[in-house]
Amino acid sequence: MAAADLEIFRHRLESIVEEMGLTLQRTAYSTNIKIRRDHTCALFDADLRHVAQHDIAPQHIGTLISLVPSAMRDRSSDLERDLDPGDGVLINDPYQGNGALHLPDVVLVSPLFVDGEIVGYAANSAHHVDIGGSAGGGIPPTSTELYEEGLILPGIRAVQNWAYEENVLSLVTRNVRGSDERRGDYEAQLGANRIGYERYRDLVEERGADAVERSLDDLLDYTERRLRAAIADLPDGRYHAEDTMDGDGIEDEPLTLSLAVEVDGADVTFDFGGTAAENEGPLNCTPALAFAGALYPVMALLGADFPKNDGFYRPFETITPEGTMVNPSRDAPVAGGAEIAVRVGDLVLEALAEALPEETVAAGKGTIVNLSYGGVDPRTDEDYVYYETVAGGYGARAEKDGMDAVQAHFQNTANSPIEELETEIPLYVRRYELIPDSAGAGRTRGGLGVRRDVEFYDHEASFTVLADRATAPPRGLFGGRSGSTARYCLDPDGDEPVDLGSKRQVTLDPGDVVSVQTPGGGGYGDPFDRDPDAVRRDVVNGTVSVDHAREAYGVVVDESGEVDEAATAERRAGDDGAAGTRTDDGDGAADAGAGTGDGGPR
Amino acid sequence: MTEDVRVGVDIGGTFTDIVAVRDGDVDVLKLPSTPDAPGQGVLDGLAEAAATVDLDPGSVAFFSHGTTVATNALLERDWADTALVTTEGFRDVLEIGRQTRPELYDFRTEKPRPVVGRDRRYEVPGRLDERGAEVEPLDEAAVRRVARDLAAEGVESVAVSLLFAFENDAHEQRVADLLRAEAPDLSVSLSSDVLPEIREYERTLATAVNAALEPVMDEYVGELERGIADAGVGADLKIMQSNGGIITASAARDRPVDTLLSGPAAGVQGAAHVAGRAGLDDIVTMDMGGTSCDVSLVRGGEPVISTERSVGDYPVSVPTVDVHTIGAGGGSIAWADEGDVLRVGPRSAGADPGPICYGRGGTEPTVTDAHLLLGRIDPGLFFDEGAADLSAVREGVRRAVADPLGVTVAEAAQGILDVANANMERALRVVSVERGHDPREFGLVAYGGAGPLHACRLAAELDVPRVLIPSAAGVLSALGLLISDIVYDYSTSMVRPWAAVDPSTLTDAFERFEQRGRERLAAEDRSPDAVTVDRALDLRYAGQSFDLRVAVPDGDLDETALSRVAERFHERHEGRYGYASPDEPLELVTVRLQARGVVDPPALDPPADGGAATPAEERTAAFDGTDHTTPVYRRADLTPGTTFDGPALVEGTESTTVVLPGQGAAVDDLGNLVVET
Repeated sequence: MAAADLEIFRHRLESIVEEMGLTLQRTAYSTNIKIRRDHTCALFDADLRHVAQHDIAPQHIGTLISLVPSAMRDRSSDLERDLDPGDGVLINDPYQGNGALHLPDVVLVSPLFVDGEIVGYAANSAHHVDIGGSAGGGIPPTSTELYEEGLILPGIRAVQNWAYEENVLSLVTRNVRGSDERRGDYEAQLGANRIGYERYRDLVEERGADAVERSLDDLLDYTERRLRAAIADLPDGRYHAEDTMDGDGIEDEPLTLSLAVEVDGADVTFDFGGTAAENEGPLNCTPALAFAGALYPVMALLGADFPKNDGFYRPFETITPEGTMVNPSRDAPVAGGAEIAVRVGDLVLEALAEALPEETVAAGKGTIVNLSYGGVDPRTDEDYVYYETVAGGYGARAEKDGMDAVQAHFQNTANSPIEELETEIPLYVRRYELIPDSAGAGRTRGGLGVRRDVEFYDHEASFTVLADRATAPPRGLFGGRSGSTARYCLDPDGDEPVDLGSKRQVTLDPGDVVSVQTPGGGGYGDPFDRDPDAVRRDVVNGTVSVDHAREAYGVVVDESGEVDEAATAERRAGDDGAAGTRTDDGDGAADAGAGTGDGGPR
Repeated sequence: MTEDVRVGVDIGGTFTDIVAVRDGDVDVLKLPSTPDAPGQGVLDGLAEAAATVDLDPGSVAFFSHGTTVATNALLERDWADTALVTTEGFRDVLEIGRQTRPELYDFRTEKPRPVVGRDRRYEVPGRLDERGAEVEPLDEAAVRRVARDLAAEGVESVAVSLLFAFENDAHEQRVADLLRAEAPDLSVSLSSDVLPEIREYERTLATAVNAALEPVMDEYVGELERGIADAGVGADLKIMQSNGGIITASAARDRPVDTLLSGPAAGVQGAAHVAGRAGLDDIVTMDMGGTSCDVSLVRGGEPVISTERSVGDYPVSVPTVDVHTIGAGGGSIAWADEGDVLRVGPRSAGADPGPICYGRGGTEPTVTDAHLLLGRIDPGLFFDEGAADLSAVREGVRRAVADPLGVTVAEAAQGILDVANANMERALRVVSVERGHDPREFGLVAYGGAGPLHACRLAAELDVPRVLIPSAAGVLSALGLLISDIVYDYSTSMVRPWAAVDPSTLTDAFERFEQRGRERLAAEDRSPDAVTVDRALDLRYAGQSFDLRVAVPDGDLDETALSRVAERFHERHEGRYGYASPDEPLELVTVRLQARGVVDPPALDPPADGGAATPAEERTAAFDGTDHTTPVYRRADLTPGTTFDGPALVEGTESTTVVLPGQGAAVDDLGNLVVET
């Protein structure tokens, strides 16, 4: 029965990529792959169509569907002659095809031969902790050329007979920090493809290459059919939103990021027209990554249930004008590309709010918040590099508050335990806490931002931040207010805190405290419509102050922690003569985004 | 020789299972559970056993219990008013967690609600460094203020979790003293007792869960102890822990967090025991019911233990039988999707309304309905007036699957089973591969209402050579309670470069643990020669964030012993990850010791041989689209030594086993069904 056979075939195919993914994760050496799961495995067919994906890291979608086919075709018009069984090709070039994410994401592609013919390709992309370049962790915040960001691998044969060619691997690992760890990760990538090869070979030998290709045709068509049916349910229209980024690390001028989402029947176009020109600094994003950033919220809106293959991507078109920061000219730096891609997620949701008011989410953290610490450990006299990201507020939803302290959109990586961090590096984390009053007020409120203060108590250290949202706050929807902006500063509790902006590398003296304060999420709906008891609970919990409750929500909470109902009614009716009513943005600066801008519903 | 009388009582959601073993004779009873007063189910079971199988409570020498009290209290948050005292600057660690969203592609997803609300989380100044040395003294005045506040607020239980308390518990102990001085009735759980391991979120969470459950468990166990004593049982009450070992009731009162998977752990232990007696030491267990399927691995006769499982929404990191739940059951709903493909699950009809054939108002076809239509299940199980309702099942399948896809009802039913099996095959593969195992090397032990319907097909697809369907599937858990050892786990993190580890420090730590374990077991009347001790270290390459457990030999440790441990680590790393880096520096993470009071399993007499079995009837059942005249055996009629070939159906009181054409089945000397695939 065909309708069951296709489903069984899909499970068979997906279990191959699943096993590849688990193998990579289990055998990888570094935290990035093992714990943060910043990797993705995929299968391509003989025609380089993307047929299956183990979808752990959605941001790799762009990388895989653009980079692999383009790089392999560039190698040769006759891949069977170019490649031998057991070969493997390494690629990380952000300027191959429509681009990759950034240099630390290294892709290994292995052709799959059965009876002397290529029947498909196994590929995986893994985020390496280091790829060389001028800053550890691959996040130089002020680079002006791709070459500063690390080693570029243009699609080189690095594997023969399922083993790395030693002279290639030694060249790669000699150019990165922590070469032994990296070697383990490259081996894990090869092991994953090998599992993919064995399982796919079994499938082809069992069913025959032609039958497998026919099933793949059916699977891709089926995926496209389902996806188009789901898109057709979205109201047609052209929906627009824009926001500003802080600046590129070289020049601190706000930069416009503009996106129109056009739904036309069963097709969707992401049009980035109106986006600022490419930057001298690293705030540039390849078209493939911009597409992945836009696709993530659409995938979440449609549900996770769809197979991920070329059929899934057919209904989408992406317009990224050349020379803008979402399609930079060759060899511009791209280390900050994910900052743009994650903000694109906020824009898609704001744009679609008009069409999908119940399903959408207000803007959230909207920045990756890349941090790295480097120095010489006085206990051992050895260099260290440590990389982490910090969560922030999630946007409010129609029926639910935004989550406090979570990652944004495609980013869902875990934090570093304080005890692990302090054991590894001589520093003290001084605070790791939710920021009161950081959430955008609304009928449902945004999530709270996070504060993480770190002190390098006995040595000089370098601190790098590559982030955003220091100037443009996450906006609310339908009358909800903005969340707070981010702040990255030195000496936060001193008399003269020093703001660092969002893209900086600074040297810290012993005893300096650096504070990372991430944005709160935007609110949803009029805050004066919020259930007073929900406001009271936040006041009792200390996440909303008594003043903020009165001013932003019109809820008066008395000293015993109870709602003063009379005073609340009066305030909400606007009869108490105080500044700030339901139509007024009483929050001042923190609400710069609310009630302005174009396209988004208010 | 005195009579060896043991009783195991496992309380599940629906049924309470009781197994009594008397000098090799096994009696099995099943009663409805009493969710409002779970302890009553235990006492009812004893009374029932006295009445029906003449069990004298006074003769019981060993009484062991599997409980869901802690689990249910956790899932329903029906627990004590609890506070948390933690290091200044970190009261939100419990709420921030690991900063991730539970579901990546779901905008409505929620983080777990913090176990302790923010208004009940208190900070106190005082700081230790990463080796436990005091950097800043504990602010005792601040602790006293907190204590007075807790007393005034009527808080019942408090968790204390301070940074680096696993290195040095002095601050936590002092906090406990000060709290008790101000509020003597308060239950206090310290992170340095509950889970003295690195990673503040996981340690704080385990401590908070323990604190919230402690008053609940204390009350339950206390009542139950009094109840069984009143019934005349002289033996001490013992409780199954999540790690597959039992502990005394008093230990369980202090450490309810260790009992969250008490029931499933007993089930896996029972399955491991039964399989071991049938010659299978490496097995995958599969407990498939109406809504889900619990899968776990047993290696070398021992359940695989994990410290990375979640209970409900909470990643509680105590050692736990590694049970993985798959969303596939007999109630999984079949449907035709918008792309015209047949799908099964993840939605389930559950038990209510359940499959269409239950006749409780279900209208969507399920896996169970498909089995029924293909003749695998006796319609008489569900219908008094069979024919009329079978047509409702047929109609449901036609409407939801057959017509939209343009196939016959029989084809649709077969398709439903094929897709359901493909779902499960993939999930079973993930569970094995994720843990580094190849499913082909394992036997499959299947139980639960739906497990035996699917096991033989799954085994064939996964190349698993042998399937075992236990004779007493529903009482595996109760049996597991009787054969499990008494187990106490001790651990402490000591994160430092391996090269800097002083062997005598390790020896001291192990000796401290061993002494505690031996004293504890001696107090429970375990003779010293029935006590075994296993020592292990968690090690990693410096810079890695995951570790591997390596066994440590007995006796005093010296440099030679440590270098042998390091060698073993490299070997394990090579074996598990395919490579080792012997020149890389190692790091010690955690020191572990397990003290085990060995319990000799009771002798079980095989059931008496009653002669060859013959099919009770024949029925037409469809396999791979072809109708077969299929013999139907009654499980109770099958005696040891009986063999038969598939296709065959074996009907028991709890489930029906499907043996496929070409497969051979035999009944072993314990009455288990063993199928060669």
